[in-house]
Order: sequence, then C-alpha cells, then structure tokens
Amino acid sequence: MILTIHAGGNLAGAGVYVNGKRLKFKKEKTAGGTAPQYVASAETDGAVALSVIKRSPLSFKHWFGKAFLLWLFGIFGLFTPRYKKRYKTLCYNLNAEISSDAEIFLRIVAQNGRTYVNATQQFAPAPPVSVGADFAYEEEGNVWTDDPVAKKHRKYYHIFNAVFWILLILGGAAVAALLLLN
Amino acid sequence: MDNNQSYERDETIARTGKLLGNLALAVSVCSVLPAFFVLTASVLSAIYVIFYFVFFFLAIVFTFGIILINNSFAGGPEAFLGGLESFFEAVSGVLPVYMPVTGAVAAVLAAGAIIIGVKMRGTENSKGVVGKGIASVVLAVIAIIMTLVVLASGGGAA
Repeated sequence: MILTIHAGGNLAGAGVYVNGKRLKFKKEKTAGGTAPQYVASAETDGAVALSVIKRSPLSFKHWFGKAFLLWLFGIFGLFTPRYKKRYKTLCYNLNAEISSDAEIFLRIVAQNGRTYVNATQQFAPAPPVSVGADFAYEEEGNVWTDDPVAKKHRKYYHIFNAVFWILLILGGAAVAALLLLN
Repeated sequence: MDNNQSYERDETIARTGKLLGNLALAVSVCSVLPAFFVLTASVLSAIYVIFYFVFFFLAIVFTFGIILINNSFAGGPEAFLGGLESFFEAVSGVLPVYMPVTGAVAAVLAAGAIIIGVKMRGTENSKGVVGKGIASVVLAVIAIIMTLVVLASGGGAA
C-alpha cells in the first residue's frame, strides 16, 4: 500500500519519518500565488507510524564536539552555518492502520505560530501539526516543548566565538606592536 | 536507530554540506580573483589615466587641491602604470601554481557539497548547497579559462 503525504507550511528543519524512514519531499505544482506544497510517498504494509521532528542542532548529543569541528573547519566560524534561535522542540507521532492506498495532508506551523480560530474570530496559538486524513488515526506530542538546553548552548557557542575573536585581535595587535617596537 | 538519532545524523551531515558549500564558494572566488585582476588591469589603467587628468584639471581650477593632488599622484601616470605592470607581472607569475591548487581545493569542496546537498535534499541546511557547489565549479572553470588567457597573452595587462 502506498501512503502519499502532502505537506505545507513551515517545513524548514522538520524531519518527517514514516515507519522509520525519512521522507524526501518534492515540490508540488500549485497555482500561482498559493503557498508551496510538497509531496512524498511511502510504502507500507498497513501500519503507519508517522513522526515529525524539529529540534535545534544545539541540543543534539555531542553538540559541542560537532559545533567545534564545524566552527574550526569553517575558518573559526566565518563560513560556519549560523544557528537559528530555535528554542522549542517538536516530537510529533501519528499512528494509523490503512487498508488501501491513502493520502494524508500535513501542515506544519512555525514556532509561536498563531492561527485564526473561526468560532471565536480570534487568533490563538496553533498546534504545530495540523492533519487531514480520510482514515482514523491516533496522535501524540502535538505541542511545542521548551528547549532551554538549546538556548543555553547557543549562548555558550556565541561567547566562545566572541572570546576567540577578541583574543585573536588582541594577540595580533600585540604581535604587531612588538614588531614595530623592535 | 530511532527517528531522533536519524534526525540528528541527517541534520549534522546537512550542516557539514552547507559548510562545504560556503567554503567551496569562498575558495573558488579566491581562485578567480587574481586572473580577473590581471585581465582587468588594462581597463583599470585606462580608468586611472582618465581620473588623473580629471583630478589634474580640478587641481588647476581649485588651487587648494594642488598640493594634495601632487602628493597623491607624484610621478605621474607613467610611474603609476609602471608599478601596476610590475605588480600584475608578479601576480601572473604565481598564477600557474596558485590557480590549479585553489581550483582543485574548490572542486573537491564543491563535489562534497553537491553530493551531500543531493543526498540530504529536504533538510533545512541542504537549501542552496547544490547551487553553491555548482557556482563554485563555474567559477573554477572561469578561473582556468582566465588563467589560460593571461598566460597566453604573456602576463597581459597594463
């Protein structure tokens, strides 16, 4: 059976997995002016375990070793990709059983995303993942979880980078001054 | 390996790809610049001569500027062009070594960036990585062509 997954919204940094395999989304052709949609498909024997993960790299295991190596090879941070202010984690799981080819629509909302609630005509915090499917499913973890570790680590990283550059500039100035004096 | 571990691995590889793309672009720009300078030296010289006479004329009109202009442009355009020529001769002298080394480094980095960019398509950090890799390869090819032109013209310029 083939499960086709249509996704939209803020997919940046989100890993979508079906039965343990990461999906590779392709852009769908949509009418001009509409938000881009992405599509992927997964083969399944009926059981569907879908996960959406979004985390900061600064809360990964061995974060400092990885960040330091990238910083070093990026010529002391000059060419290293920047770390975004992502202090919330998403670990969403959906379980379902399908009996034939099916489609599922996911919409991933950005951190602190707010959506329009029709009943009250007010904006309210949106759930991270909105799902549309024509089969029954169970979901869990559809909330942003605060990630204070990523915030702390980002601060450490920036302090480390700033201290290194200050020391480098001071050292360079000291060497230049010594050379000039001699 | 659970989904979280897989996510960590994928994002780390994608960040490495992005770093390689940034480095490839930087190195390829460095590889093309000297050849670009040498080739545009003739144009720069022509612009300099024009500016020299413009400033000379302004200096006559505004006598206040004569000392400044005289100090800045001491020796006249011939001296400046002579200096420029020797500089570009020195640059074109190192090009046969500099260009292949930087070009090869850029090519390796670009190849790594393109491979990772294609493999990790869909991750946040893979965005633009393939484009950077291809741009680096294009710049490296331009550098090779420019270097060949410079060498064929015997150092070119000035």
